[in-house]
Amino acid sequence: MKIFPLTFLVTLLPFFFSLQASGGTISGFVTDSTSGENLIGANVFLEGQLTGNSSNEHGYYVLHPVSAGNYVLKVSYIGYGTASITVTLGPEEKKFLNISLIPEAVSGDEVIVSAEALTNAREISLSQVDLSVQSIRDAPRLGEADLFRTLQALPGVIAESDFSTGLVVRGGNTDQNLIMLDGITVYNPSHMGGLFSNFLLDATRDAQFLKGGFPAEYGGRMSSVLNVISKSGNARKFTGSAGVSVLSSRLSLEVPVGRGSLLLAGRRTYFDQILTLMNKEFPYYFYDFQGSFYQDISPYDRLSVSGYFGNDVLDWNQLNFNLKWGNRTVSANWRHVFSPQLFSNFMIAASNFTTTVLLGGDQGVNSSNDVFDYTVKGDLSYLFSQRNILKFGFEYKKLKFNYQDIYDDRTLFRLLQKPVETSIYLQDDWQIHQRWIIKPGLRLSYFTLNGNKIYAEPRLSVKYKLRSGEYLTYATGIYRQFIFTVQDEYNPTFINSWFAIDQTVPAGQSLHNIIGYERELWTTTVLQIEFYYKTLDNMLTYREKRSSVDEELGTAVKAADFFVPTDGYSYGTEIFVHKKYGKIAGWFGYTLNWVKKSLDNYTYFASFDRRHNINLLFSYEIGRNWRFSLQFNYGSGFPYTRVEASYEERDGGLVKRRLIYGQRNLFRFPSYHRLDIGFSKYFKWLGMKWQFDTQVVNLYNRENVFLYEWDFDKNPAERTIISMLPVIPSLGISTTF
Amino acid sequence: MVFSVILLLMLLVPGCENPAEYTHVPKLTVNSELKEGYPIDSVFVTQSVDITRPYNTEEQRVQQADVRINGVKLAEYDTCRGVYYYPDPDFRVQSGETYFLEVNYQSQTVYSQTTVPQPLQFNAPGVSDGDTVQYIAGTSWFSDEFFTLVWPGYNNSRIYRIISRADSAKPKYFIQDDRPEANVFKGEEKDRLNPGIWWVADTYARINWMYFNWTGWHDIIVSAMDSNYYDYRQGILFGEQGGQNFSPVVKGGYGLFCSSASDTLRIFIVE
Repeated sequence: MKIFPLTFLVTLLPFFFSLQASGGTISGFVTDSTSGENLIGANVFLEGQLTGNSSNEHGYYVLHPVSAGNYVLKVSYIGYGTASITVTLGPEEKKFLNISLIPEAVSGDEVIVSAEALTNAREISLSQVDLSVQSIRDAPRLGEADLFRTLQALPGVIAESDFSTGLVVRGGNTDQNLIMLDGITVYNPSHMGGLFSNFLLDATRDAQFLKGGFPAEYGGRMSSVLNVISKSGNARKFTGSAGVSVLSSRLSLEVPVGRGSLLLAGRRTYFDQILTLMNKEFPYYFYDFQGSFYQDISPYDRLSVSGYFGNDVLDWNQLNFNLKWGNRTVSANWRHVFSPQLFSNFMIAASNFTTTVLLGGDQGVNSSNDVFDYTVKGDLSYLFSQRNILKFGFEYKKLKFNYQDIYDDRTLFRLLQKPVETSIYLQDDWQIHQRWIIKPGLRLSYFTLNGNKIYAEPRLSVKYKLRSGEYLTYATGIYRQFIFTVQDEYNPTFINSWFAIDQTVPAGQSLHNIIGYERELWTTTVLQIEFYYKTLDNMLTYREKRSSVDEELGTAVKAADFFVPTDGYSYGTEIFVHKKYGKIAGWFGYTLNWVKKSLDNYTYFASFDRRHNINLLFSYEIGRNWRFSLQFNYGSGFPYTRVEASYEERDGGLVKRRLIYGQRNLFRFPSYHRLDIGFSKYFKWLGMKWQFDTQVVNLYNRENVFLYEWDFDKNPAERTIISMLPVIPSLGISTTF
Repeated sequence: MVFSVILLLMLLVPGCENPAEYTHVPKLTVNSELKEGYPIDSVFVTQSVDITRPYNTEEQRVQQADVRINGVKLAEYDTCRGVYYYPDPDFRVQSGETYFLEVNYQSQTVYSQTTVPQPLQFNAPGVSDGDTVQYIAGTSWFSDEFFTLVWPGYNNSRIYRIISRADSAKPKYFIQDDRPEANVFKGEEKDRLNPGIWWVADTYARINWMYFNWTGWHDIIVSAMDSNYYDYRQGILFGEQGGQNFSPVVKGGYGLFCSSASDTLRIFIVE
């Protein structure tokens, strides 16, 4: 707690120094002229001045203080022409100026330099990746372009298997990532056991991913933050897109309405229908719907409503088996500019994740897990000057976790929790010198089920400019987590069941330390090297304690009855070379990583400890109408627990061979590698733009090991491989109108 | 330069090689169930075996081991080496009694103990010993029962074992059923075993199609199992180990040493 007063004092210092800053202000929103969409991270500066600013996630910019005079205001953004606007500002005048940029093909390096130089110089983006929808679509994929699968190709991020979209970020469990859709927490954003994520790219504008060291405005998770930002919708004209692939169909529509827009998007799979045609039965499908509506009720106020719902359904009547899980979110936002320097966004939201398993009718199994999240939050920022921006806010979360197993009308297990999680935060983004930027912050969290404790989470990041385009950065912080999913070391689950800590188990805690080096290799290419060390304390691991399938465990279950706190740590190095634009675009990533855990006083390599991991992802424009894309991943083998021996078990007249497992995770699977390629053809037809895609996943049909099985019908027992995805071709066609 | 560094790191930093091959040292394995009201007639003593080596039941049996229960040395069958029995032919396992097992062989010693559950008696409303019961194929674990066995008020055990044993498991008596639901819940036809074993934690069992794979005479045996049996299986549902070892109840070795108290219903199954 000693760091608390120091951090708080540092945070307040600029407030006192900058109180005397005076001068005029130029502010407004930067938008796309063809759609009205806000442009995030657009660079805004006065020609000839040393500093500028970039638009925030709502497209809002502020320049302050600005002396009276005549200026040329420049606004640049990749993929848009640079706007130059003559501005005359009187003494202490506050000018509100919205700017619309015209889309333009990226023509030269100069555009890129001016568009990005200010952002890179002014912001600390350690361990942060901003992904555009286009870069996600350009990557080769299995049927559908998918945000999570693209994230898994970044250094520091690992997929547990080909069948999982879970993000293992720098050794953290998949439940340690705060995943948000427009600020609303999404609790299980995956379909089909983890093969696809929930997010509809047709309705997505940007995705911001922070792998560690994230600032005080984010909390509640120990490892990373993924903030998916939806499109607002086209407020200028009716547009839409549609697509069909071997796995699903999708449609999105954007309709101007009043002083805003309505956006609707949906997707549905149909491999259940395809399998029926092949006389095979697997009645599984999923669907997603997403919608948003907004109105600008004044130049300073926007009201918006958005929602998502999606379900996975496995309805097998023949087996009297029904499995269903899905997310539902709804939110209302009020974006308000109190004054040019004081910007705010308030949200009220509800999120629900439900899993239901029904087997065998009234006398059978009825298992369910419900998560309800009601959130009120406010985020405000006050710009003292371009050099000093103060952010502060609050979050109030009312949660409910209901986890129960009912068998034959008897409740075998019931866990009902209704905690409240409250947080406030304060962070300052302060350029104290031409070469130095510091970002101290403090988050205070309170969780009702864990005693009346207030948890302090100090954060700090620092950026030092070595020379133009070359920086050193450092970030550290304490991160708390109060809710977890069931992590079972022996029987991995494919659907997340969430629960909250109570007074019997401690809150999770992680300490991050990250050092980074960043350098612009060429105007469009950035090199980032990071070293990190992360501790993970009090991760709750599930221990199955029943000996049969129907033992009653009670309805007054406490967390400590089933969960054991485990500790772990992770450290390593990442090298990332990212070429963002041009005919050839993509990245190369390398990670060297160690991840260890301790359970029952035994320390072992975590199941996703991958020593070396290489990712290469790029796309290449061949002429004007073709694009080639490639994704290659090489990884050292994951650890596994080897079977060493067997013994005879006699029970009730049956003789079985039972396995004897050795030390946990002492052995390694063979290395993993996979090559995916894709070709896209662009053409026009019936006045619409079309794209035809053909992809091959696992081009050379590498048999990557998923797990080993033993066949005791052979003597000696024979080990067989259960492998991951084989070679899979896929086709798809899409259009925009 | 960057790629040279990466190559160097990949060459120099290990962590993905497997440890040197490990040879398993065999350990004593003891299997025995002491049944209330019965003699102790089968204590199996074998050895564990490395997974890469062939398994031969005869070779794994441990002959001339020193096997004792409550200090009394057990005799070994002449015709079935590696299997031991209590030498007193009038001896019967008693409910509530604790039996201590110790096995010594060469330099190895293993031991365990069990307390026998109280006698169990169930009710079988609507069905009696010797009755004929019609087999009706179901659709899941929870299909309608043919009859229910109930043992009210018995709380001396945390787990009960239900055994369905056909007198004759010959192919001509096999109940053919390769529907998808049968394959899902019972396993493929070639994998269906006799006897079939299930477990319950409550004081009743609904006996339905899941318990029968052959026609003819069957013994339905309900056994209250001891704490060793419960502990042995704790955390391992459906028998799927998933990287986890069964809890050791035979200290110093492997196997299952337990006790039970049972009741039996004998019926004739027809299709």
